[in-house]
Amino acid sequence: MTDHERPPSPIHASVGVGMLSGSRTFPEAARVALADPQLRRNLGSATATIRDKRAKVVAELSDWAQLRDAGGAIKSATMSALDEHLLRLEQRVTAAGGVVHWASDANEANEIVTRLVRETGHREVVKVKSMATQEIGLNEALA
Amino acid sequence: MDRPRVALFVTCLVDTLFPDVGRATVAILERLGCEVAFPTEQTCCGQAHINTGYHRDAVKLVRAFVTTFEGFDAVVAPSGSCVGAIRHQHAMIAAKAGDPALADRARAVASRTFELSEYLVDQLGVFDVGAAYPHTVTYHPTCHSLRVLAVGDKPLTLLRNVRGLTLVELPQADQCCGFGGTFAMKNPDTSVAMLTDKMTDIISTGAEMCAASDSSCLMHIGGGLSRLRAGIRTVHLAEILAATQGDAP
Repeated sequence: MTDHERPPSPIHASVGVGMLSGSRTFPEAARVALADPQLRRNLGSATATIRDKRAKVVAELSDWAQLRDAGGAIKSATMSALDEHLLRLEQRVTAAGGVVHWASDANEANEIVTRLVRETGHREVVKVKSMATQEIGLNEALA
Repeated sequence: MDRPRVALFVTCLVDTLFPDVGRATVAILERLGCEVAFPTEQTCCGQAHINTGYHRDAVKLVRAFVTTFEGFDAVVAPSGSCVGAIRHQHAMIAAKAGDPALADRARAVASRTFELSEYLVDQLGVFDVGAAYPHTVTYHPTCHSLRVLAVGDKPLTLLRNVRGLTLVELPQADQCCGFGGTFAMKNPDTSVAMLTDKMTDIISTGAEMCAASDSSCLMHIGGGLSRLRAGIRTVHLAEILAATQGDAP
């Protein structure tokens, strides 16, 4: 099969990829996790901290809900015009001397990154946490 | 002056498990001068069906609701959850089924359908309904009424005007009790864990009663509190507002 005939990656991460789905259903996993007192205390504490911070910031503006809606509308509009935005990004990055790679699915993206890393001759990579890279299973591909 | 013709939408939970809430709702409305009807052909609002994906089947329920209630000046229900569903889902379900005429009728009836505190404060312009209830009460704002209907502090305002009632603020009040209707069925362990947090907050208030505008949440909270033998009872907002001689249910 040529590269273009290879079946695309599945839409959902497979079990074990990016730690995004496990072998148990959520209710099953929840039953076990809820019985862990340390985990409950930690989560409770973290959640309370985040909520308090959020409550303080939200209290600064009387129209925060409208602002949130406006932000959501901007995101939706941008997503709908992603094709235009990405092409413009490519133009600007290229003009600034960068290289833009296009991948049609997770497998292709991982192959491109792996090739780029190999071309440096190095075997260790530092990367930031990224949901996009978790969804495509980049860590597993580079390992 | 004509008295407003109001229909009671009793809701499944109240009709089957907590009928006193329905009776209390009628008592309040009649005391405030409304002519209250109870159309017996009413059915479920369909929220559970819609939330579980049975959108085509739910059209029948939307049609039944519209047909039953569109002749009234207003429809009042002792449930933020059901009114939230009616307002946000009925027209959508009809439109999705390819029935724009039904969607229009659904929108029209939904605009005249109110949760109890909304009807009392916004439509009747009343804060003091002449109630007396000499107990310490803490109020849990249920998710639909708080977030979908945005009733704000209407229930608290009504409670503050009840003679003899001591209102104690509930810590972290806007946290969900964990019931969520179908959520409790699909995620029972998480639902109960959330309930534990809610009960901890309720017990910390030292209140005798926990009140809310939704029997679903009250059922969940009340069930948990009874298992704890916590000595705290749950009471619907309607039951408090209907009480005139401090007669607790």
